[in-house]
Amino acid sequence: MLLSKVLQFVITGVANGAIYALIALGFTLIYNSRQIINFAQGEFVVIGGMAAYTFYVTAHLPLPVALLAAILVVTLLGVAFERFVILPLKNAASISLIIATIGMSIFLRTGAMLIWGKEAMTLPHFFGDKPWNIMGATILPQQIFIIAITLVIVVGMQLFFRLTVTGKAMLAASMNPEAARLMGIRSERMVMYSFAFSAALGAVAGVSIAPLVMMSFGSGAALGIKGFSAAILGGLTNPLGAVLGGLSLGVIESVGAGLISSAFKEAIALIVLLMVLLIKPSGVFGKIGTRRHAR
Amino acid sequence: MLKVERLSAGYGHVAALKEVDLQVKDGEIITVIGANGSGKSTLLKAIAGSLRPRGGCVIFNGKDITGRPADRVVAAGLCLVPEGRQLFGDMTVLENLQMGGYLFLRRRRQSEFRAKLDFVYDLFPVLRDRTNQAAGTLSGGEQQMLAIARALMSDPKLLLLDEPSMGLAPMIIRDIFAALRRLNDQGLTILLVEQDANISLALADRGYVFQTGQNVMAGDATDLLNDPAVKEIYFGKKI
Repeated sequence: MLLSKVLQFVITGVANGAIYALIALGFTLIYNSRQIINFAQGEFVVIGGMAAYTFYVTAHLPLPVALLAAILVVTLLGVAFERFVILPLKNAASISLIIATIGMSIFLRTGAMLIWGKEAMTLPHFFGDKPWNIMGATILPQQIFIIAITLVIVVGMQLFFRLTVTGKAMLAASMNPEAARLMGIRSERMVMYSFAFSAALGAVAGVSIAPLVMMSFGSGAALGIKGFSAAILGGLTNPLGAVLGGLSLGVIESVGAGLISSAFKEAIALIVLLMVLLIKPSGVFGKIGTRRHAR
Repeated sequence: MLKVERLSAGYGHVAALKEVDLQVKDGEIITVIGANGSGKSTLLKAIAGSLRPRGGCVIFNGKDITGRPADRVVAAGLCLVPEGRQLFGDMTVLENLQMGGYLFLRRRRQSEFRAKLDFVYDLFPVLRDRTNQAAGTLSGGEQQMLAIARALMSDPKLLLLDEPSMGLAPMIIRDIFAALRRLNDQGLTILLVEQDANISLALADRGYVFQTGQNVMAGDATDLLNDPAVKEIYFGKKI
């Protein structure tokens, strides 16, 4: 009885954690490329979900097409953000850039409200909503999808950064943009790729949870904080750390809410964030396989 | 091959380089010497596009490349080995070389990349033994060799080097300068910036002496080597 309860918490935690991991990866990518925290990351998630709603429910596109179209729209939004806001602030201090991302998040949130109104919306489950039973615990097909897609993305990203020329060039540009330029690598272009990538990850998270949570224009802040906490837990620069951070945060949150009270659920991420910043600001997983600039 | 005319550059309010003229002919080794802060590094950065010049022009192989950004200068056949090596420390030796050959790899010219890789491994065999080692864990001399090898991967016609001897033991410096000599024998043109006047003038055909951002002397390397005035410029001795 107790076992199945704990198992249930863990399953829910891992599924939520996978979403946090995707959002955290977005933070990590942009931090590595430009040394800033992108506070508009949560808005990428929300706009992904809401755009998918529009494409599917309003425009009657087939679900896979609607999802891909939503991801594409958010990716282009990420590119535009980098080209028109971040790039022109070339030599600005990090703090100015971070404030620009806060401005962007307000802009996107307000834009979303004007486009979609204040109603919360949700998508149908991709593969039906009949839960599966595992030893007394239940898991939704949508949760399995979320865990699977996160796994695919994490493995895909590792392969991309380890095996492809463009992936390595992005790493090189993040380690030492000036040296990368001397090799003919267009470092600014690599920063743009990071923003595109990061926005796309946010959108994937957004469309994947849209069937499970009600999403409205203001949902981004909470999701952003969860992803940010996960990224900090993982050491901010380390993609693998971000994934582990996301999964741990999801499990801690779900177990904590289950054992103490679900009223605490939203507070748990913030408590974890504060504890990490107080006790080990470099992140719990900060050291595993970090690939950072060294001279 | 390279013609620099009245080139000026600086940082903020500091004019680090003031209307410098300089010329490098095909197949030459040219050295620019001078004390710390004489504008040598600034000159290389302004030529390679790391720093936007404030005036004057840079002509490379008949093309005006003044102010062209660094990532577009490489393709023209000019590559800078920056001061302090600036390797990608967490990447392996091979990955650093792949970045050096980025333009080949991006255009899927694998065979040219392979040929270049063999060439630099033959030039510095120690790098072949260290292929999968992280660049940051190499010794200082090996790091400098890797920095030079990485620049050679782009198949430059003109190699710019910013203080390759910095922080290295005399024996290692000798090896590296011997490698530069071999490269030059094979037709590579070299512009070398150095604080150590003796070793660089011994290698070079001609030299320029810089002081506070200006070119104060120029001539055959052997003449400069024996000229007492050069020493005075270095040590700031008044006559």
